[in-house]
Amino acid sequence: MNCLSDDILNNYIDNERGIAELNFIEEHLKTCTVCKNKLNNLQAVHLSLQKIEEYSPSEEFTAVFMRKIGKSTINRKNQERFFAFVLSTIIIVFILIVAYLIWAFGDTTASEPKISIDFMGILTLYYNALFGWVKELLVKQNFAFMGSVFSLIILASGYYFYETRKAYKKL
Amino acid sequence: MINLTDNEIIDSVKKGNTADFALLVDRYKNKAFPMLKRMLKNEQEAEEVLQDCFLKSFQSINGFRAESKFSTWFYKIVYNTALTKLSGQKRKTENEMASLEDEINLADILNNEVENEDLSALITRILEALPAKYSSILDMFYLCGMSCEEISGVAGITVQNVKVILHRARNSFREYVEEKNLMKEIL
Repeated sequence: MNCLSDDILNNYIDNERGIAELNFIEEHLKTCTVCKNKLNNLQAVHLSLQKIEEYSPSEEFTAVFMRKIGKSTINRKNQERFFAFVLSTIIIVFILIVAYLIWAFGDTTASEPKISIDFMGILTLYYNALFGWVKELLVKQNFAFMGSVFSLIILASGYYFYETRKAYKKL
Repeated sequence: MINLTDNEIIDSVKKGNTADFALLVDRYKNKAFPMLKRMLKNEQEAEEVLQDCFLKSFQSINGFRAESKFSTWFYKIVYNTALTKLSGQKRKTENEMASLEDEINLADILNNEVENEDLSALITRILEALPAKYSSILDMFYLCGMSCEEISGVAGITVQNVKVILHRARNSFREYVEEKNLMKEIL
Protein backbone atom coordinates (compact mmCIF):
# COMPACT_ATOMS: atom_id res chain seq x y z
CA MET A 1 0.00 0.00 0.00
CA ASN A 2 1.28 3.50 -0.88
CA CYS A 3 2.23 5.71 2.02
CA LEU A 4 0.33 8.91 2.76
CA SER A 5 1.72 12.13 1.30
CA ASP A 6 2.81 15.08 3.45
CA ASP A 7 -0.13 17.09 2.15
CA ILE A 8 -2.63 14.43 3.20
CA LEU A 9 -1.09 14.24 6.67
CA ASN A 10 -1.11 18.02 7.02
CA ASN A 11 -4.73 18.23 5.92
CA TYR A 12 -5.55 15.43 8.35
CA ILE A 13 -4.07 17.50 11.18
CA ASP A 14 -6.13 20.49 10.04
CA ASN A 15 -9.30 18.35 9.87
CA GLU A 16 -9.69 19.07 6.21
CA ARG A 17 -10.52 15.61 4.93
CA GLY A 18 -13.86 14.10 4.04
CA ILE A 19 -15.25 11.19 6.10
CA ALA A 20 -14.53 8.64 3.37
CA GLU A 21 -10.93 9.77 3.12
CA LEU A 22 -10.63 9.94 6.90
CA ASN A 23 -11.58 6.30 7.17
CA PHE A 24 -8.99 5.42 4.56
CA ILE A 25 -6.28 7.44 6.35
CA GLU A 26 -7.10 5.92 9.74
CA GLU A 27 -7.09 2.41 8.32
CA HIS A 28 -3.71 3.07 6.73
CA LEU A 29 -2.26 4.52 9.94
CA LYS A 30 -3.20 1.34 11.82
CA THR A 31 -0.93 -0.71 9.62
CA CYS A 32 1.86 1.69 8.54
CA THR A 33 4.34 2.62 11.26
CA VAL A 34 6.27 4.96 8.95
CA CYS A 35 3.20 7.13 8.33
CA LYS A 36 2.13 6.83 11.97
CA ASN A 37 5.51 8.14 13.14
CA LYS A 38 5.44 10.88 10.55
CA LEU A 39 1.98 11.94 11.71
CA ASN A 40 3.01 11.87 15.37
CA ASN A 41 6.00 14.05 14.62
CA LEU A 42 3.92 16.42 12.53
CA GLN A 43 1.35 16.68 15.31
CA ALA A 44 4.12 17.37 17.80
CA VAL A 45 5.42 20.17 15.58
CA HIS A 46 1.87 21.50 15.18
CA LEU A 47 1.39 21.51 18.96
CA SER A 48 4.72 23.18 19.59
CA LEU A 49 3.91 25.89 17.04
CA GLN A 50 0.63 26.49 18.87
CA LYS A 51 2.72 27.41 21.88
CA ILE A 52 4.35 30.38 20.14
CA GLU A 53 4.43 33.02 22.80
CA GLU A 54 3.21 36.54 22.34
CA TYR A 55 5.26 39.32 23.85
CA SER A 56 4.89 43.00 24.24
CA PRO A 57 6.88 45.92 22.90
CA SER A 58 8.30 48.43 25.40
CA GLU A 59 6.26 49.12 28.54
CA GLU A 60 5.61 52.69 27.46
CA PHE A 61 4.29 51.66 24.04
CA THR A 62 0.59 52.37 24.62
CA ALA A 63 1.23 55.59 26.53
CA VAL A 64 3.59 56.89 23.82
CA PHE A 65 1.10 55.97 21.14
CA MET A 66 -1.81 57.67 22.90
CA ARG A 67 0.26 60.86 23.22
CA LYS A 68 0.86 60.70 19.47
CA ILE A 69 -2.85 60.34 18.84
CA GLY A 70 -3.49 63.37 21.04
CA LYS A 71 -0.98 65.41 19.02
CA SER A 72 -2.35 64.22 15.70
CA THR A 73 -5.91 65.07 16.78
CA ILE A 74 -4.82 68.60 17.72
CA ASN A 75 -2.97 68.93 14.41
CA ARG A 76 -6.00 67.76 12.50
CA LYS A 77 -8.23 70.25 14.33
CA ASN A 78 -5.75 73.05 13.54
CA GLN A 79 -5.65 71.92 9.94
CA GLU A 80 -9.45 71.96 9.74
CA ARG A 81 -9.62 75.40 11.34
CA PHE A 82 -7.02 76.75 8.93
CA PHE A 83 -8.82 75.19 5.99
CA ALA A 84 -12.12 76.75 7.11
CA PHE A 85 -10.39 80.13 7.51
CA VAL A 86 -8.81 80.03 4.03
CA LEU A 87 -12.01 78.79 2.43
CA SER A 88 -14.15 81.47 4.07
CA THR A 89 -11.59 84.16 3.11
CA ILE A 90 -11.66 83.00 -0.50
CA ILE A 91 -15.48 82.97 -0.50
CA ILE A 92 -15.67 86.45 1.03
CA VAL A 93 -13.15 87.85 -1.47
CA PHE A 94 -15.08 86.22 -4.30
CA ILE A 95 -18.39 87.64 -3.08
CA LEU A 96 -16.81 91.10 -2.76
CA ILE A 97 -15.44 90.94 -6.30
CA VAL A 98 -18.80 89.83 -7.69
CA ALA A 99 -20.61 92.49 -5.68
CA TYR A 100 -18.22 95.14 -6.90
CA LEU A 101 -18.56 94.05 -10.52
CA ILE A 102 -22.34 94.11 -10.26
CA TRP A 103 -22.22 97.51 -8.65
CA ALA A 104 -19.66 99.00 -11.03
CA PHE A 105 -20.73 97.46 -14.31
CA GLY A 106 -24.37 96.66 -13.60
CA ASP A 107 -27.22 97.44 -15.99
CA THR A 108 -27.27 101.27 -16.14
CA THR A 109 -29.92 101.36 -18.88
CA ALA A 110 -32.66 100.02 -16.68
CA SER A 111 -35.52 102.50 -16.72
CA GLU A 112 -36.76 101.83 -13.22
CA PRO A 113 -34.26 101.33 -10.39
CA LYS A 114 -35.27 98.28 -8.43
CA ILE A 115 -34.07 99.73 -5.14
CA SER A 116 -34.87 103.20 -3.96
CA ILE A 117 -32.20 105.85 -4.63
CA ASP A 118 -31.81 106.71 -0.97
CA PHE A 119 -31.20 103.17 0.07
CA MET A 120 -28.73 102.67 -2.79
CA GLY A 121 -26.97 105.86 -1.78
CA ILE A 122 -26.62 104.75 1.82
CA LEU A 123 -25.42 101.38 0.66
CA THR A 124 -22.82 102.97 -1.63
CA LEU A 125 -21.68 105.25 1.18
CA TYR A 126 -21.17 102.36 3.56
CA TYR A 127 -19.58 100.30 0.82
CA ASN A 128 -17.13 103.07 -0.03
CA ALA A 129 -16.31 103.68 3.60
CA LEU A 130 -15.72 100.04 4.37
CA PHE A 131 -14.25 98.72 1.15
CA GLY A 132 -12.85 101.82 -0.51
CA TRP A 133 -9.40 100.31 -0.41
CA VAL A 134 -10.71 97.16 -2.04
CA LYS A 135 -12.19 99.29 -4.81
CA GLU A 136 -8.80 100.95 -5.23
CA LEU A 137 -7.15 97.58 -5.57
CA LEU A 138 -9.69 96.38 -8.08
CA VAL A 139 -9.15 99.15 -10.63
CA LYS A 140 -7.82 97.88 -13.93
CA GLN A 141 -4.19 98.84 -13.24
CA ASN A 142 -4.09 96.82 -10.02
CA PHE A 143 -5.87 93.72 -11.34
CA ALA A 144 -2.62 91.97 -12.29
CA PHE A 145 -1.15 92.77 -8.87
CA MET A 146 -4.24 91.46 -7.11
CA GLY A 147 -4.14 88.30 -9.19
CA SER A 148 -0.53 87.72 -8.19
CA VAL A 149 -1.28 88.28 -4.50
CA PHE A 150 -4.24 85.93 -4.71
CA SER A 151 -2.13 83.26 -6.44
CA LEU A 152 0.58 83.70 -3.81
CA ILE A 153 -1.97 83.18 -1.03
CA ILE A 154 -3.23 80.00 -2.72
CA LEU A 155 0.34 78.74 -3.23
CA ALA A 156 1.28 79.50 0.40
CA SER A 157 -1.86 77.72 1.63
CA GLY A 158 -1.07 74.73 -0.55
CA TYR A 159 2.45 74.57 0.81
CA TYR A 160 1.15 74.87 4.38
CA PHE A 161 -1.26 71.98 3.80
CA TYR A 162 1.52 69.90 2.30
CA GLU A 163 3.82 70.52 5.26
CA THR A 164 1.17 69.92 7.92
CA ARG A 165 0.06 66.76 6.12
CA LYS A 166 3.68 65.56 6.07
CA ALA A 167 4.14 66.33 9.75
CA TYR A 168 0.83 64.63 10.54
CA LYS A 169 1.92 61.47 8.71
CA LYS A 170 5.26 61.44 10.51
CA LEU A 171 3.60 61.36 13.94
CA MET B 1 -14.80 48.11 29.79
CA ILE B 2 -12.20 45.42 29.05
CA ASN B 3 -14.94 42.99 27.94
CA LEU B 4 -16.11 45.23 25.14
CA THR B 5 -15.96 43.75 21.65
CA ASP B 6 -13.72 45.31 19.02
CA ASN B 7 -16.72 46.79 17.23
CA GLU B 8 -18.06 48.34 20.44
CA ILE B 9 -14.67 49.96 21.09
CA ILE B 10 -14.53 51.22 17.49
CA ASP B 11 -18.02 52.72 17.80
CA SER B 12 -16.92 54.49 20.95
CA VAL B 13 -13.76 55.84 19.25
CA LYS B 14 -15.86 57.00 16.30
CA LYS B 15 -18.07 58.92 18.73
CA GLY B 16 -15.01 60.85 19.92
CA ASN B 17 -13.78 58.76 22.86
CA THR B 18 -10.23 58.68 21.53
CA ALA B 19 -8.85 57.21 24.78
CA ASP B 20 -10.76 53.97 24.15
CA PHE B 21 -8.43 53.23 21.26
CA ALA B 22 -5.87 52.27 23.92
CA LEU B 23 -7.98 49.14 24.56
CA LEU B 24 -7.45 48.04 20.96
CA VAL B 25 -3.74 48.83 21.19
CA ASP B 26 -3.40 46.72 24.33
CA ARG B 27 -5.43 43.93 22.74
CA TYR B 28 -3.36 43.61 19.56
CA LYS B 29 0.13 44.91 20.29
CA ASN B 30 1.43 41.67 21.83
CA LYS B 31 0.48 39.64 18.77
CA ALA B 32 1.41 42.15 16.08
CA PHE B 33 4.77 43.00 17.65
CA PRO B 34 6.37 39.52 17.48
CA MET B 35 5.01 39.13 13.95
CA LEU B 36 6.60 42.42 12.88
CA LYS B 37 9.82 41.65 14.69
CA ARG B 38 10.13 38.38 12.85
CA MET B 39 9.31 39.98 9.51
CA LEU B 40 11.68 42.93 9.90
CA LYS B 41 14.36 41.13 11.95
CA ASN B 42 14.78 44.25 14.05
CA GLU B 43 13.11 45.03 17.36
CA GLN B 44 13.35 48.81 17.17
CA GLU B 45 12.04 48.96 13.62
CA ALA B 46 9.24 46.58 14.56
CA GLU B 47 8.14 48.92 17.34
CA GLU B 48 8.25 51.96 15.06
CA VAL B 49 6.29 50.18 12.36
CA LEU B 50 3.75 48.99 14.93
CA GLN B 51 3.20 52.58 16.09
CA ASP B 52 2.74 53.52 12.47
CA CYS B 53 0.22 50.70 11.94
CA PHE B 54 -1.87 51.72 14.94
CA LEU B 55 -1.76 55.34 13.80
CA LYS B 56 -2.90 54.36 10.31
CA SER B 57 -5.76 52.31 11.70
CA PHE B 58 -6.75 55.16 14.04
CA GLN B 59 -6.72 57.68 11.21
CA SER B 60 -8.84 55.53 8.97
CA ILE B 61 -11.13 54.11 11.67
CA ASN B 62 -14.08 56.09 10.32
CA GLY B 63 -13.75 54.16 7.08
CA PHE B 64 -13.82 50.81 8.87
CA ARG B 65 -17.02 48.88 8.21
CA ALA B 66 -18.23 46.37 10.77
CA GLU B 67 -18.87 43.75 8.05
CA SER B 68 -15.27 42.54 8.39
CA LYS B 69 -13.36 41.76 11.57
CA PHE B 70 -11.15 44.48 12.99
CA SER B 71 -8.38 41.93 13.53
CA THR B 72 -8.28 40.99 9.83
CA TRP B 73 -8.37 44.65 8.81
CA PHE B 74 -5.63 45.56 11.28
CA TYR B 75 -3.33 42.65 10.39
CA LYS B 76 -3.68 43.60 6.74
CA ILE B 77 -2.34 47.05 7.64
CA VAL B 78 0.48 45.42 9.64
CA TYR B 79 1.39 42.99 6.87
CA ASN B 80 1.34 45.61 4.10
CA THR B 81 3.26 48.17 6.14
CA ALA B 82 5.95 45.62 6.93
CA LEU B 83 6.24 44.61 3.29
CA THR B 84 6.52 48.26 2.26
CA LYS B 85 9.25 48.71 4.86
CA LEU B 86 11.03 45.61 3.59
CA SER B 87 10.76 46.67 -0.04
CA GLY B 88 12.55 49.86 0.98
CA GLN B 89 15.46 47.84 2.29
CA LYS B 90 16.83 46.77 -1.08
CA ARG B 91 19.56 44.60 0.35
CA LYS B 92 17.11 42.37 2.17
CA THR B 93 14.41 42.26 -0.44
CA GLU B 94 15.66 39.26 -2.35
CA ASN B 95 15.88 37.15 0.78
CA GLU B 96 12.67 38.32 2.38
CA MET B 97 10.41 38.13 -0.61
CA ALA B 98 11.19 34.48 -1.20
CA SER B 99 8.86 32.94 -3.73
CA LEU B 100 6.64 29.98 -3.01
CA GLU B 101 8.90 27.73 -5.04
CA ASP B 102 11.74 28.22 -2.56
CA GLU B 103 12.32 25.35 -0.17
CA ILE B 104 12.94 26.10 3.48
CA ASN B 105 16.24 24.68 4.63
CA LEU B 106 16.25 24.98 8.39
CA ALA B 107 19.69 23.42 8.72
CA ASP B 108 21.14 26.29 6.67
CA ILE B 109 19.06 28.86 8.50
CA LEU B 110 20.10 27.70 11.95
CA ASN B 111 23.69 26.76 11.11
CA ASN B 112 23.21 23.49 12.99
CA GLU B 113 23.56 25.20 16.36
CA VAL B 114 20.96 23.51 18.50
CA GLU B 115 22.89 22.28 21.48
CA ASN B 116 21.66 23.22 24.92
CA GLU B 117 18.67 25.09 23.62
CA ASP B 118 15.15 24.65 24.95
CA LEU B 119 12.31 24.04 22.54
CA SER B 120 10.49 27.36 22.83
CA ALA B 121 13.79 29.17 22.20
CA LEU B 122 14.39 26.92 19.20
CA ILE B 123 10.91 27.60 17.77
CA THR B 124 11.40 31.31 18.26
CA ARG B 125 14.79 31.15 16.58
CA ILE B 126 13.43 29.19 13.63
CA LEU B 127 10.55 31.63 13.19
CA GLU B 128 12.86 34.61 13.42
CA ALA B 129 15.18 33.13 10.84
CA LEU B 130 12.44 32.29 8.33
CA PRO B 131 11.79 34.63 5.38
CA ALA B 132 9.10 37.24 6.16
CA LYS B 133 6.48 35.60 3.96
CA TYR B 134 6.73 32.31 5.87
CA SER B 135 7.10 33.69 9.38
CA SER B 136 4.18 36.11 8.95
CA ILE B 137 1.84 33.36 7.76
CA LEU B 138 2.87 31.03 10.60
CA ASP B 139 2.35 33.88 13.05
CA MET B 140 -1.06 34.73 11.65
CA PHE B 141 -2.11 31.08 11.83
CA TYR B 142 -0.67 30.05 15.18
CA LEU B 143 -0.21 33.27 17.14
CA CYS B 144 -3.16 35.31 15.88
CA GLY B 145 -5.46 32.31 15.45
CA MET B 146 -6.57 33.29 11.96
CA SER B 147 -8.09 30.87 9.46
CA CYS B 148 -6.46 30.14 6.09
CA GLU B 149 -9.24 32.18 4.42
CA GLU B 150 -8.54 35.20 6.63
CA ILE B 151 -4.79 34.90 6.03
CA SER B 152 -5.47 34.69 2.31
CA GLY B 153 -7.37 38.01 2.53
CA VAL B 154 -4.58 39.66 4.50
CA ALA B 155 -1.64 38.41 2.45
CA GLY B 156 -3.36 38.71 -0.92
CA ILE B 157 -2.59 35.13 -1.92
CA THR B 158 -4.89 32.19 -2.56
CA VAL B 159 -6.07 29.94 0.26
CA GLN B 160 -4.26 27.10 -1.49
CA ASN B 161 -0.97 29.02 -1.33
CA VAL B 162 -1.50 29.76 2.36
CA LYS B 163 -1.85 26.01 2.93
CA VAL B 164 1.23 25.31 0.82
CA ILE B 165 3.27 27.67 2.99
CA LEU B 166 1.89 26.21 6.23
CA HIS B 167 2.48 22.62 5.14
CA ARG B 168 5.96 23.37 3.83
CA ALA B 169 6.94 25.11 7.06
CA ARG B 170 5.59 22.25 9.21
CA ASN B 171 7.27 19.63 7.05
CA SER B 172 10.61 21.39 7.20
CA PHE B 173 10.27 21.80 10.94
CA ARG B 174 9.41 18.09 11.30
CA GLU B 175 12.31 16.97 9.12
CA TYR B 176 14.67 19.19 11.06
CA VAL B 177 13.65 17.98 14.52
CA GLU B 178 13.70 14.37 13.31
CA GLU B 179 17.16 14.83 11.88
CA LYS B 180 18.42 16.46 15.08
CA ASN B 181 16.54 13.98 17.22
CA LEU B 182 14.67 16.72 19.06
CA MET B 183 11.31 14.95 19.19
CA LYS B 184 11.77 13.90 22.81
CA GLU B 185 11.97 17.53 23.75
CA ILE B 186 8.85 18.37 21.82
CA LEU B 187 6.87 15.48 23.28
